[in-house]
Amino acid sequence: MESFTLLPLTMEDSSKSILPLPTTVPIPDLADHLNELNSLHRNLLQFDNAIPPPPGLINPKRSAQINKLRESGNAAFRKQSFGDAVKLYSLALEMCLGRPHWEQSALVREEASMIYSNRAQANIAMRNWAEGMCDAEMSCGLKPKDNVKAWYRRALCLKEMNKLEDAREVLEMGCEWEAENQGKTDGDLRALLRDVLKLVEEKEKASL
Amino acid sequence: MALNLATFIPPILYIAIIVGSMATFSSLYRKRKAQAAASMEPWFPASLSRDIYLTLLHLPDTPNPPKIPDSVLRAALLRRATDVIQKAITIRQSKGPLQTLLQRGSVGDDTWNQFLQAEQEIDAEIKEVAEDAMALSTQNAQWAQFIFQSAAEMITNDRLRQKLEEQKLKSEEWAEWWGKKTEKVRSEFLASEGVDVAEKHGVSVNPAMVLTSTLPAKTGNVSDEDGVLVEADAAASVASPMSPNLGKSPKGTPTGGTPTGTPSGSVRKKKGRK
Repeated sequence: MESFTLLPLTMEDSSKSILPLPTTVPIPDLADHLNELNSLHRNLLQFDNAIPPPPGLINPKRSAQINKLRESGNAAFRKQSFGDAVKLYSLALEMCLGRPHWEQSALVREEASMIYSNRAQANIAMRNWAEGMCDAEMSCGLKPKDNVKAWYRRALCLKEMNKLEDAREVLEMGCEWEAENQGKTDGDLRALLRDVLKLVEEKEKASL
Repeated sequence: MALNLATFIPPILYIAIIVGSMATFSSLYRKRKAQAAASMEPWFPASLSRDIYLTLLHLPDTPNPPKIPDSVLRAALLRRATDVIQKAITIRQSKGPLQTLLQRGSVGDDTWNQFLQAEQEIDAEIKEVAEDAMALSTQNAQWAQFIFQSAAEMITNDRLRQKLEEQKLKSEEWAEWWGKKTEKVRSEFLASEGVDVAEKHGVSVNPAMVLTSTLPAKTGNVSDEDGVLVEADAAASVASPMSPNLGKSPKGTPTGGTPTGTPSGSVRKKKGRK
């Protein structure tokens, strides 16, 4: 480990970006690595001395913006302009997923799962079952625990799309994740599960 | 006196031969071992981020060097740190299983030695990165204390984004499947309603517009928003004959619960309509 390969690198003075010098034998992946390095460098320049703060420190401006967008999305939803709500939620989502990577990923998970869940609800209200299902699925994937609303919405969309088997699976999974709060919050899940089971039975009878 | 010397020669000779042969053996053995260690295949492939960082660090030694600002060095070091962390995680995760395999005799000693060497190297590299971070930190920010935190967070974030990207692709497939299905059902529905689909399609591509024109009551306010809602409603009512079980729920314009309400609150509202 005492040696290293001296790479043919140079720096462009104006933008301070590192560039490879032309070589006879191209080095694989070098250009990709340098691109990533340069973009990271540009992103880090916003801090004193280009040292990113520890993950615990969050840029409050971005959080505030995300919250504001989500709140206006909720307001639009209450006014029943669901299309606007979806647009606002999408903007909030973009902001949330655009968080710099040295900030806490847990926060991104939390925020994104909530926004996805809300957008699923707006999509359900517009009867865009496929989009609603996808959003709810994202939400469940990001945060399976304590996310009973997203599980319910995902199953509801599947049921409306007549994907009864999938809906049943999702509901059972959701119930498992909610097992800790059994009897308190998972009532709706169980009710929907009963509905779906009934539908499956009827379908089987009809096909016999 | 001469007699005494003669009696001492055999034991001294014996000791000399024994020590000498042992020394030769040990030196040969060590040399071989060192050779084997040097020729061992490295556990990880050569790290490009490490090479980039060290090259940038050593560029001043080359003829007419560019002046590398510290910020670039910091970015390069951070990228190297993410690399090191990833390797350290791999090492830690594979140590247990590899040990088990070694005990069962599934892997040879050489693999184990290779692994131990890699572990040492990674430990050394972690120290090196920490030292460099210390050298690059300022008085306000002792970077060595949190460079690895940042690096680890960057790795988790990268993975999260990757996972989301995959999920998005899956979702798009779903949306496409459902879009095709509803399209099919809608055209069947329009055909059964006696609307000349072909002609209408020639005029407007949007089936929602077709529907709004067939429903005179709705044409009063044909805003963009209404068009979408009508389309959605129509899709739902079309979907019901396909799935007779679903038809029992009244399909009005849903009010829905507020997304921020309590979980049971918003959900219960939906249930009430069923």
